Parts: sequence; C-alpha cells; structure tokens
Amino acid sequence: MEKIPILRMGPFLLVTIQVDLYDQLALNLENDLISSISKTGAKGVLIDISALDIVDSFMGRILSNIASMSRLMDAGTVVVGMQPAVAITLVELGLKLHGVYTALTIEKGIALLQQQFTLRTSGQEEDTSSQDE
Amino acid sequence: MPRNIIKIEINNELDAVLAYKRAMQLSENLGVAMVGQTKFATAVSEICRNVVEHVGCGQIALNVTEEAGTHYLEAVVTDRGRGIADAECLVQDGAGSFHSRGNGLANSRKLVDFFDIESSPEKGTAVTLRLRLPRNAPVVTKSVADKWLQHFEYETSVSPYAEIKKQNIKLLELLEQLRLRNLETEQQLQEIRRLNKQLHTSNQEISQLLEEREKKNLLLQKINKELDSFAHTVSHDLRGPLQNINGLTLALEACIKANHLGEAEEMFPMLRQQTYKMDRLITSILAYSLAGHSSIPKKVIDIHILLHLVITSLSVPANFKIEVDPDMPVLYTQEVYLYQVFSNIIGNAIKYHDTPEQGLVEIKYKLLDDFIEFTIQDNGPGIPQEVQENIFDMYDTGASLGRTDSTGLGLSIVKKIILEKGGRVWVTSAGRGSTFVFTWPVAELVPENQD
Repeated sequence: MEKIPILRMGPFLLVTIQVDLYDQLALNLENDLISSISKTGAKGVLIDISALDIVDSFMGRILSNIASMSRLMDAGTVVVGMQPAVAITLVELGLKLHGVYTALTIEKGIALLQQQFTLRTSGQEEDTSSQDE
Repeated sequence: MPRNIIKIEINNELDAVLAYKRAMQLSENLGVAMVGQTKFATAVSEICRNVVEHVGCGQIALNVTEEAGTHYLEAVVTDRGRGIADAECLVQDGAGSFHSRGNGLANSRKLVDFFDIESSPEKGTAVTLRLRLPRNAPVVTKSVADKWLQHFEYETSVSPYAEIKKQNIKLLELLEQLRLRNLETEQQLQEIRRLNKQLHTSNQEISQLLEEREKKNLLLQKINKELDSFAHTVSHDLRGPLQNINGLTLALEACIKANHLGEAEEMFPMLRQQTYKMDRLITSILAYSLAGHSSIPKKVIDIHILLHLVITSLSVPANFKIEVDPDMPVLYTQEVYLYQVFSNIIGNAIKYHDTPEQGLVEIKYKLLDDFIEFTIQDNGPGIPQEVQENIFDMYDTGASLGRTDSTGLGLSIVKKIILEKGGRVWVTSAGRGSTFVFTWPVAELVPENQD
C-alpha cells in the first residue's frame, strides 16, 4: 500500500506530497496525520505541495479536510510551496481552502506556525480569530 | 477536422491522474504557457474524476482541432452512464461547492476556452474541453503525434500505476495477438491434419498399387521364364523330326541322282510321316504353351496306344527292348502332357544307354489312394547320386554325361507338366539302372467298366 510519509520536525509534522492523491491514499493520509498529531501532540502540520502540478477540487477538498481535522486536534495547518500556476488556477476556480494557511517555503511555514503557537500559548482569544482567515 | 493524439480508458482515479498528466504534457508540447497548462490539466482532472466517481468508467480522447482559424487542444471525455439530467443547470449552479457533481463541471468550465456538454440517458455524457493554442504552436502531423506517443511510451516517471497500466495494455494486446495467432495456428493445424490424412490415404493407395505391381511383376517374371523355357522346348522337340527330314531329303537326293526312282518314291510317305509328326508336335507344343493360361481340352487316352505312339516316334535301336505292362489304365486327361512325359523319359533311357543292344526299359503302373504312379525303369548306366537332385532343372545335363545332342530340357519339361498336374516326379538310381517315378491325379482315371 502506498503511503505518504509524515516527518516530525520539533513540535510540527511535515508532509510532502509528491505523488498524485487518490481516494484511498488521501484517506490514509488523513488517518495517519490525525493519529500522528494525537500521538506526538504536534501543534502544527506543514503540507508541502511543491511537487503537485495541479490542485483540483478533489485535492482542495482533501487539504481543507486535513486542515479542519487538525484544527479539531488543536494543530494548525500550513500549505507550502504552491506552484504559481496552481495558485492562479485555484483563484480562477474560485476554490477556497477553508482553514488552511499558506506559505511560500517551509521556513516561512514553520515561522508562521511558531508564531501561531506562541500566540496561542499567550492568549486563547486571539487564537480563534486568527484561524478564520 | 480533429486529429486524435491519444485515447485513455478511465476506470479509476489513477487513470484520471494519467489523463490530466497527458493533457499537461500535450499542452506543454503545443507551446502553452505554464498557467494554461495547469488550468487545462485541472479542468481535465475535474471531469475525469467526475466520471470515476459517478459512472465508474469512460474514455478521454485528446485531440488537436481547429475552428475559425484558431487551433485548440481538445479533450473529449465520454462515458456510458445514464446521463446527467439538466446538465446546463448543474454547470451553472454547482460552482464553488466541493460536493456535487455539478461543481466539477462548473469548475472545469471556468478553466477552459470552450466548454460543451452533451448528455442523454441513452448515450451517456460527452464533455468537450478546449484550450486555445498560441499562434506559434507546432503543427501536429502524424509523425509528430507518433513521436509524442513514443515519448509517452518510454517515459516511466509518471507513476508506477501508469507503468503498470501501460504494461497491462500491452499485455492485453499481446494476449489478443496470441489468441489470433493461436486461432491461425489451430486452423493451420487442422489444415495440416487434413493434408496428412490425405497423404496417408494416398500413401496407402500407393502401397497397395505397389503391392499389386509387385505381384504382377512376379507373375510377369514367371510368365517370362515360362516363355523362355517354352522357346527352348520348341527348339528341342522340333529338332528330332527336322533331322529326320533332313536325312530323308539327303537320301532322296542321292536316290534321284543315282536314278533309283523306285526307292525315291518309297521315301515320300516317310517324309510325309515326318512332316506330319512335326505338325503334330507343333500343334501339341502350342497347346502345351497354352497350358499355363487356359486348359488344353482333355480327352480319353489309352496309355497303351499313347505309349505305342511314343515308342514309334523314338528311334529305338535294334535289340533295345521296351516292355510295357499289359495292364495299363485309360485316362481322361491332356494327351500332349502325358505324351511329353513318356517321350522324354523313355527317350532319355534310350539316348543315354551305354549298351543299347542289351537295353531294356520296363514301364509299369500302380494305383494308389490319390495318385496313379507310373514307373519307368531302365538298365542303363545309372545316375550318380549328386546329379539326381538337380536332374529335373533346366540345362542341368549334357556335359557331365558327355553328350552333345542334349539340350537338357526334356526332364524340366517333364517336371513342369507333372507339377502343373499337381503330381510329383523323382528318380532313384543305385549302381546300374535308373528308375523314374511320377504320379498322376487319380481323378483323371477312367474306370475300367466303362470300356
């Protein structure tokens, strides 16, 4: 069975999607991520999609789902490395990746998550507002 | 006129992935910019995922087409589903949502330069997407398309699934080819079997013909041999009277020269007798020659009379005695056969006798169960043991006995006749004297009370 590896980076998890997603794989990824978050107590998930040529509504839905689930598990989600053409396409489609933060690179993504992390540890009220971007 | 570049069967999500990858590669090949590529590929992906999700299987054809001077890369996605009711409405309404079938259609519509959907419950759904190609797009000829296809063939990096699918398709093609070839082979095999059968039958026929030919050959050889011996027989038997005639004519000539006309006149009946004898012989020999093929007519023969005829025809020296048993049978048989047998055996007894003035030949007969047995016994020099065995074979005479007037056919003729009649002939000889014995079928005996 194909699997997408989940790497631990300090308090965060890193997922690099290099193969094309299909139902079963996406389902596995969701499950693996949730169990990893619960096991490690990770505070954020970085999803690297720089290898993806396209993000269609199906993949958008998967990313969105992951973000929602992670949020329920008290972890933020940042999608990093989106190709410019993919971004344009998403805009033209009018797809909104609900609950998903984006960053250009992994470093920026980590910085974003750390910022969130510190924000959350300092005050709960600001936390909720920032998530609804 | 759209030119098809590639067709992909869509049976699952991975096929949809393969479809959008190909769409992307083709648009890249056709000089479309990155954003354009991505948009088109995304649109293709949306439609193909729809097919997988709602119908299960379909097909995508990627074509290059032209309309009103503008070139397009075209993707036609067809399925055999029950169609989409109110497709147009779905396209309009579903936009932006993630979950209905309409959203895929609506989304892809936003991404392409031309969108068309045809749907009916009977024919399923056909979605056409078009991407406008830049002006500097390469012209797609067949060779170009083939080159791209080849490139797709060799490209292994797409995904393991694509590779497996490719190999699967190849395997299926091979299987089909194999099936066809198997069928062909089967047909050829049947043809071969049929031909083999034919060959077998003709072989059998040939061997039958060969066998027949062999038989005929043997028969022919036998007949040839008989013909040979017949020629010898003729010359052998005709020589006697001919020599007599020769002697008589010489004597006649002498008489005429000496003017003994009275004596000469006496010779004519003798001459006639000899010619008559010769004629009889020729007739008989002809009849004998026919014996192998058709039977010579039988007639009632008194052996006494026959023996008398035989003895008078032989030149018996003075004092040479021939004693015939007074009790001789009457047979219903071929005269010429018996004549030949007696004539040859008695003639030999006279011819080879070393002291003809004391010569004696006794002729007897005995009635057995199945045969009549004739015995001809002489008091001649006898026959050496080693000669007895072969004495009845053709040519086997003369030299050993120091005679030059023998053709060596006499006894072979005897043997032939006796065998023809189903009897036996043999000779016994110890010291002086020889005894020739032959048997004749008892069936040809004429009962005495009939006389």
